Amino acid sequence: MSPILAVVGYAEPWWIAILKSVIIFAVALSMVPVVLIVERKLLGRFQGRYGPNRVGPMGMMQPLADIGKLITKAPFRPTTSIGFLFILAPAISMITAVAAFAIIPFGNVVDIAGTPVGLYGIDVGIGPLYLFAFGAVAFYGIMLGGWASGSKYSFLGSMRAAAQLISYEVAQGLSIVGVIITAGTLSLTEIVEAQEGMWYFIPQFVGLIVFMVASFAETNRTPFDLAEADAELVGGYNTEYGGSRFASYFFAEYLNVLIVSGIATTLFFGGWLLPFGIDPPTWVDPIVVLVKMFAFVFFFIWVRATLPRLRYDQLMSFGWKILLPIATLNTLITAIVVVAID
Amino acid sequence: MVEILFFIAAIGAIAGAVGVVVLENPFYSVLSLVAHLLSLALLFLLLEAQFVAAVQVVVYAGAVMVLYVFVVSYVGGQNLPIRAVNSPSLRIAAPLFAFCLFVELMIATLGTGLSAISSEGPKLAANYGEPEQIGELLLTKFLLPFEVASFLLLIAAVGAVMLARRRRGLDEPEVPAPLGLLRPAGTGTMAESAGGGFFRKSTASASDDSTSTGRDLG
Amino acid sequence: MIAAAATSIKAPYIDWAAFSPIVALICGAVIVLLIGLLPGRRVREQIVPGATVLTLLATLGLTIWQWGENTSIISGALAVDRLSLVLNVVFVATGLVTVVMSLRERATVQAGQGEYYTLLLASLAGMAVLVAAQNLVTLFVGIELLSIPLYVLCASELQREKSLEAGLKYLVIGSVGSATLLFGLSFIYGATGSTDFSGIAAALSSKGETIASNPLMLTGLGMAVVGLGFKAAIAPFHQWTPDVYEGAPSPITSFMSVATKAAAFGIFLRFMDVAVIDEALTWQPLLAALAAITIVVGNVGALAQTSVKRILAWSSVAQGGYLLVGIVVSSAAGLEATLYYLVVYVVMNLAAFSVVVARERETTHGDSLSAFAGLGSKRPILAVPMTIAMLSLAGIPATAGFIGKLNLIGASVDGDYAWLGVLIAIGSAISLAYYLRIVAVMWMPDRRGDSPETDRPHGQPEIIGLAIICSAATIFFGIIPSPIYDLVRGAGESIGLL
Repeated sequence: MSPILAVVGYAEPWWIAILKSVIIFAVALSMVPVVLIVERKLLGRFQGRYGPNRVGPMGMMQPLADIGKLITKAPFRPTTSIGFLFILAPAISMITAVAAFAIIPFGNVVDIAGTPVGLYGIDVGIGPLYLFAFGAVAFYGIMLGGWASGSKYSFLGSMRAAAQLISYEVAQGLSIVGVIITAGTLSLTEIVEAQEGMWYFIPQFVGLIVFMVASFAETNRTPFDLAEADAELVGGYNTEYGGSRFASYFFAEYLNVLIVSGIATTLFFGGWLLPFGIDPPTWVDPIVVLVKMFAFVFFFIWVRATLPRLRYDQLMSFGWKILLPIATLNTLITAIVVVAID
Repeated sequence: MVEILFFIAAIGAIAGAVGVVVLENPFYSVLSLVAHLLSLALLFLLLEAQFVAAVQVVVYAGAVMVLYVFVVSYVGGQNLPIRAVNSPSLRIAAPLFAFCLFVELMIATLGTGLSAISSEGPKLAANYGEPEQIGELLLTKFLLPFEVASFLLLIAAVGAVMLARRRRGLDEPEVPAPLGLLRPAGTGTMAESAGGGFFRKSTASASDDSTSTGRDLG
Repeated sequence: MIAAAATSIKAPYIDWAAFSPIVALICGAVIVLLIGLLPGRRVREQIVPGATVLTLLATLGLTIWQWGENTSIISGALAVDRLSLVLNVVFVATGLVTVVMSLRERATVQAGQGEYYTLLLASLAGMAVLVAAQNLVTLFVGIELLSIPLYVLCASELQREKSLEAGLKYLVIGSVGSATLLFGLSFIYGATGSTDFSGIAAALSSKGETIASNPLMLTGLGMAVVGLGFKAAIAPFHQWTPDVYEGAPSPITSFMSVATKAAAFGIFLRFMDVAVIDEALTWQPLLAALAAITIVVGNVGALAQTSVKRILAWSSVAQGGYLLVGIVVSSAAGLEATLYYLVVYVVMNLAAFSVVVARERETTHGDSLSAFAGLGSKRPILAVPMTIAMLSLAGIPATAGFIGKLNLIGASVDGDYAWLGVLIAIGSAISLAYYLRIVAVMWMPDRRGDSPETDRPHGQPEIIGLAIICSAATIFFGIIPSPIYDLVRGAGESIGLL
């Protein structure tokens, strides 16, 4: 069987692929509660209070309590909802979020027990396009959730979220194109390796800013979180969801934050590379990536605590009239500079 | 493994396509079209065309179908049955023609497919289907269609704006509201979002457009 | 940092001189769009049409500059030869007439002048790309670039429901045609392994029987003919023509009736005579049957109409049948006969449509026959051009239409399809019934007194001037056909036909 998805020119045995999938899913599953508690504690500190500190030492067991509560709730479904789609929507969000996690590289190819193994799920020849493909499908999770709930708040909320998603998707993609042009390749591991001399946040500074702003919109985080604006929409598309389905949606949302952080790390901050050319043993690489990812997560939480929410028309006009032209210009100038230098 | 995936994708594609035509609720039609497109993407992957598969999902299932879903969820909703054909002769002739076309297409595709069933398929280069190869083709052999297609996208956008533009926007403001100079445009003031602001359009409009009225949601 | 291992790709050589007419159209479209954004009434009503006219004249100049070239440019995507250059002239002429007709049209005001003229130029650019296409992909992109602006332009009279309906119908049916065409083209690619016309011809000539009788190739060819037939309005794919022609704003109808037909038949010529010429024995009977059906259906369908635009729509279907005869014989004489007829079709049809547009704005009867009642006595300056146009379309001697039909009948007889020549003559005889009916309505004395009041006297010298010029040209080319003969001579050899 031909190695249809590996660009690195070798085929991994099937048991390695299954093992990696399990490990990646486990890592994702365990990182989300960490992000949950970190967010609540940090938000508390930013707002001059302690945050949760009852459950466990310094409140570290709070996610356990949260998830336990959510899972043990009775799963209900409004009678006006459409059953099949109502149940499918959070599943779509979860599946696409976890699937997108597979391309974040945690390290280079290492030799484990005789077989070359890449410290990533897959390294596809199409790189970031894989991410956008799953992001595009993730839209349906939100859309169907709102529509299938059969309530007006949900529908409105999901429509707004959907419009926001597709508006900022283009700017996000264009900001990445600058990096791709500079690196000359689409494969994420090769992009990291191309950042040996200088991490890309320096030449692609504009791209980084555009990507971060667009990612805030793509993950429905403040200041772009009007899809879940309590004051306006009660709960947006997840108004009618309770219990474990609600947990799925929020799982998917935090996972999206992690993925975006991972991609920003990979594309702009050198992935597993350390500054000043320090060359650590290979087992340090995943730790470096995780540290950088959590730096970005901290940034996400920091912004949430600081900035107010944008209004819908402000958001849309910003996305189309300001962010997209800037992203396009960035791509154009990068292309010109790269051609001129070569 | 490849065979299992192929049959899953093929059945998904056919079921999706049949669902588009047969389902009465337009929203379900659109969703089954999305399912069909995702199955097609899987078929592209099996044919080692990774870029086309990714682009199919990102552009077709992820952007075009999103717009369909938007429109159908706002405007659709009634289960309108497929209208019965008026003339009785057409009721017989139409399925007959469709069946003849189907037989012809089956002969064409199955004939060539069956003649290649024992082979391994063509020999492909190692980077077949990768974006590099497609990009090279688009910049050398298919440069003109590529550039003309980008012009076509611009024209389609112009046409769409032309059709959907608010009628009031065509009259020139004779006297701009002076205080509006103080409010920068595009910052989203309340006045602007309500349609006023510096470029306030003249309120009187001779149009009698009965086309667009707001539909109630839900 | 920057990957030095990137293989550099050598861009293809672009012959800018030969490509310049299409570049002029595309750049002109963008510039007109930008000009249309400027505020001010004068901009909208004068500068934008002026810029459009300038673009068209520039395209004409560049086309004439390239006269005599016979090259294929941009890695074989486009062919700049006599066929495409002659058709460029046809397109530019139609465009100029349409711009003049659109100056006072309601549709331009309602839709926005900048966008209207931009879409017009974009459609022309698509036509220019289409008739020069040497590649299946270029063919499809050309057809889409030609059609999509037309869908919108048909709907551009936004406050009239019939116009929107026409645009929607054209969109749906045109999309079906494009989809069928694409399906057929993909089968042809699958059967021959090449997207270039020359590659397809080479595969057909070298592999001979295996491909020619391959069901994949035959199905693909059939579907491609069907798809192109939708665009060219050949029966039985003509069903959209009467409704769309009637609903669209009249300048757009006239544009469509001439330019789209010219473009569709141009690509028919190029595709059939370059790509699949070796399968001529397969598709000639098919096209002959389609031509026969089209002539009959088009002429019979026009007999019962009461709206002049619908009569002209059905007549254009019938004229498409005549044009198809020139393609069936697949000889240089047939190709030149088709081209000749397309050139004179421009002046004949546009003369008729100018009068329709002028009369439409003068009375409340729109485009129905009653609007023309008694025109001979009240406004002979409109009635005479209309009469000349009708007679020319019917093929009366001393008009350009007569010479055109003579060429087509001659080519068909030379190509062993004499029965089609006979059918053209019979069709022309039938068509006299409805063409002369319009003439009769105009010139018969108005006994019942139901001729419409010219209650909106409109000074529209430009439309009347157009009508006079076009009808004069019709008579002129009917008596002295040699300028057009010189124009189209050599088109057959330029694409390698015998």
